[in-house]
Amino acid sequence: MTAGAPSHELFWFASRALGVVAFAMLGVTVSVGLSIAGRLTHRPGIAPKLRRFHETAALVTLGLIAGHAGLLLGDRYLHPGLTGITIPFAMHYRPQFTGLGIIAGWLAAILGLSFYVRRRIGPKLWRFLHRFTVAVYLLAIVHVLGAGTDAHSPWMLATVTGLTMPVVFAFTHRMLSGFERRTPSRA
Amino acid sequence: MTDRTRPTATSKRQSRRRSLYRHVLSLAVAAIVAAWLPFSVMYVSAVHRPPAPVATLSGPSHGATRLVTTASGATKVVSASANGSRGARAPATAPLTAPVSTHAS
Repeated sequence: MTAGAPSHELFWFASRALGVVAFAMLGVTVSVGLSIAGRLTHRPGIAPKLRRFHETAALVTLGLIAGHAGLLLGDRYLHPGLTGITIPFAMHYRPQFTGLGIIAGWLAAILGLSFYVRRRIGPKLWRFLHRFTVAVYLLAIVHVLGAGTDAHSPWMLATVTGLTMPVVFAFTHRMLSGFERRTPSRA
Repeated sequence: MTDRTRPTATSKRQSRRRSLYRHVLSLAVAAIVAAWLPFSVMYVSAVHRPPAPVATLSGPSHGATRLVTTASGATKVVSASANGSRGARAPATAPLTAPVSTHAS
């Protein structure tokens, strides 16, 4: 920001702030989801609590993503329009990275809300679809680092790293335990 | 799967060890990614960073010039107006009328 009154960029600042919080919430949601699936904790009674938190956090994340995109409509510099915030690669500002962010947002909405129609689509298909939530997180990282104006600042790098570490840990744990379950023990 | 229904000390120990391996391996992968992520971002931004101006010289013979440190570490003198950088000042007859908003910060 080289010049211009801060009041002119209220929507821009608010959108960026919501984007950072949405990314943080997404990281927490995905980490918790992976730890449930990978059975990271065996404490009795913790699984239902974690599941409830996972569901609530996912809904909050979706709201934050909607707010992050919706607030851009008020920004006079970007002026993306409804097309720019809903159709991937249509926005003129860093189109590849904002496009990946839009794809991540849509995927998060579809994969997250599919939980409420899992009986209709079948739990097997839902579980298969829900695995792709990790892709949402990967796309979000690319979006944050590519389109985020704070992407290279130390605090943002620390946030991305701090959120990614538990996701990678839980994902690796989940993969290893899944692999062990598929491979019968020879002992 | 008779081991599951009647866990012996050996199978318990084995499963605990397997769980420990899983945790250690997962942590190691997470640590590698945690180190790689900021490193790669900093490296890419350092590679794409434009050379920083070190000092500005001005004189009657060569006008406005700048000392620029190149990526290789060498320092060279360049004309500020020739490369169209931010270092070149706008002419006094063309005042800035509208605030510039670049969303650069």
